[in-house]
Amino acid sequence: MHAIEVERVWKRYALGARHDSLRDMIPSMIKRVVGGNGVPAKHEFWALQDVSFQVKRGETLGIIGPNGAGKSTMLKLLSRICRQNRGEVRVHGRLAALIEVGAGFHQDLTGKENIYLNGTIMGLRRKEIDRKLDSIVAFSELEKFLEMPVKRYSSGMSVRLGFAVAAHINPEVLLVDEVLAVGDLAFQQKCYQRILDLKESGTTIIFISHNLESVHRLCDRVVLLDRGRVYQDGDPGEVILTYRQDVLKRSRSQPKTFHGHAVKDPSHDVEMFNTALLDGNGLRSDTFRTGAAMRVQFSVNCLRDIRNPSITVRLERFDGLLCHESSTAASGLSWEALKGRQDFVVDYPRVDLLPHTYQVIISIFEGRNPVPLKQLKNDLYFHISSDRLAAGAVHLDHHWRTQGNGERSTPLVHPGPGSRGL
Amino acid sequence: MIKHLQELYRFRDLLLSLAMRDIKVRYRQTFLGVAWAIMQPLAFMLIFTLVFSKFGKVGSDGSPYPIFSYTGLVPWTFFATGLSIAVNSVATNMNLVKKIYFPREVFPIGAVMGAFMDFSVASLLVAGLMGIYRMAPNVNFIWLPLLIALEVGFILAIALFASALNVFYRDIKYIVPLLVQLGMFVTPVIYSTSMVPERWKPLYMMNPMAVVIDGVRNIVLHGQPPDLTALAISMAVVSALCLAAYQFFKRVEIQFADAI
Repeated sequence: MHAIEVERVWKRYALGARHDSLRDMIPSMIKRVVGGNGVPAKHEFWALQDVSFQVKRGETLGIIGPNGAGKSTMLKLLSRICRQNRGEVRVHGRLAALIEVGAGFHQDLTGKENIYLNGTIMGLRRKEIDRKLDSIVAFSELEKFLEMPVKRYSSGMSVRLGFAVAAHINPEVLLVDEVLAVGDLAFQQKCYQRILDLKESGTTIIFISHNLESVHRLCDRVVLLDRGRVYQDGDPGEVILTYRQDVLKRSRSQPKTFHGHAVKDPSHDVEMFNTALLDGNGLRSDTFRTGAAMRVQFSVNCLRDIRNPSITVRLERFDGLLCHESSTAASGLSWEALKGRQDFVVDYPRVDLLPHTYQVIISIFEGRNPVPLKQLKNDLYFHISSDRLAAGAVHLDHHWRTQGNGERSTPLVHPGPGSRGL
Repeated sequence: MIKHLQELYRFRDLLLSLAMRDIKVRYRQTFLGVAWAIMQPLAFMLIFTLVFSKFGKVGSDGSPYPIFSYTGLVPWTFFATGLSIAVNSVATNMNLVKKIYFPREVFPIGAVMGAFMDFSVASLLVAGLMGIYRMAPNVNFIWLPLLIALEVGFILAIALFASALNVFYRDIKYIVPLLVQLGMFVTPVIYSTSMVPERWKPLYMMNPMAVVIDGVRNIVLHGQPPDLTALAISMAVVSALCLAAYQFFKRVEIQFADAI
């Protein structure tokens, strides 16, 4: 028996100018009568399209996806805040949603009054709150401040109070949405622990977050939403990997190119062409494994003498993180003047980057002028893939050793020379 | 319908919390506190007595004008303020509507409950005025709860309908108070129903508030029962309106969160 069943759900939203006064409504009503039905007009869009999944009792499901994928909409449908246009949503059991901590808090009321207000809003009975009051107060660590109006609380105190109430809700189904992003580390620890306690006692949980690390740790299964559709549904590790590789890149703005190259052109004195990424076998590729060999190739044509040139090749992650930059100057390659055509190759025997999408930015400088004569950007992309799950920007060879209650050690994780990567 | 009422019953603690919140917030940190509930009808009573009775010589069926106007003002203030708060109650709480599930009618109903509390406080002064003018309570006072129920029903019906509509069309919150202000002139607040020409009386008494105020005056000032035919008809009409308004509210409720 499933605790949650989502069956072929569609939800659309109307965009554009909303008519929230009768004066505006009449002309649009006329337009609507003349228009059609069924397929949403250009000013509407489908936030969810044909979404289906089930959650077993006691299972923890993670929902991930880029912004605008439909995660929050799904949450609203599950908590009956809005209704789907097509399909069915069935939730069996008492449901509570942690979408915002301290919902309903009124600044003029005291902490204690807000406990009752927030508690009843979240679905607790007054008698329940009476019983749990001491525990709630203890959890919040705000014993001395209960009779003070909440407007005098610090933001941290308000969050603690709100979460203390939320932590005492005992639903059969719990929806959690990014709530845990607020507060200090100690507080977040407490929050996650509470969720784990609920998980242990058999609560069915749906967890929506951008924090892929937490999703991986907490969830038994993960659903990946992209542009309103279920992209993948299954093992957390696999789905998160897919998200990193396939989806994150597409959700960013598409690169702009013209004439096949996206080159910044402050001067016409230098041309850049023949840009390519090659793998260990010299073949063009745009996907590499962590630790595999990669080669950046490009050619330059100088229409005049370029004095004291230097060329940099930057590897930048899609979110803007600079992972590595190398320059001819730092590598010992220098010329008094560069003339005519020059072909370049940068070989990386081991590209120890973790799964993500990256781009190569090639810049040509003259002398000490910080503005490049030519720069290739938003054109040369590549993806890194790996079977291993790791967090961070780079792979570092390492191994563990421990002593005390027995001695253990792990082997060194290392791609090996000439390898095809991890 | 039954299911909706059952669900509302399950959330009765929330209803109480919200009603209490509004009352507490309104009177906390004020100098006069709950005494404000009496201020509005009292102030209007003084002005009306001066303007309509002393200057305008409006008749009050033989009763002293102050208590005459006050017995009209107290129910009317309940009606006017209850509605004006209730109409905007859902729209004001959209942040909650978008995040948490509970039956949304707790907002207009809670608002009416808050206004009812003010009404109760203001009614105490009626007893005071009765003492001043040496009027005693009489057996017909047993009709009062029915009249109050009629008024509450009428306010709830309009509140449920208007507060739902206001979520989608925000000018409702201006239209309703305007209509209420105009309504005061077709309700016997300032003048007595005896001033209404006979041929207009049946139409005039279709206004539930006219039935209420006229009835209250009959009971308190003249020791007479209210107009029972009018009362019966009004109660039937208001009950039907309540049902229809509640159905309407529950039907459009699910779209609230989509309307920003």
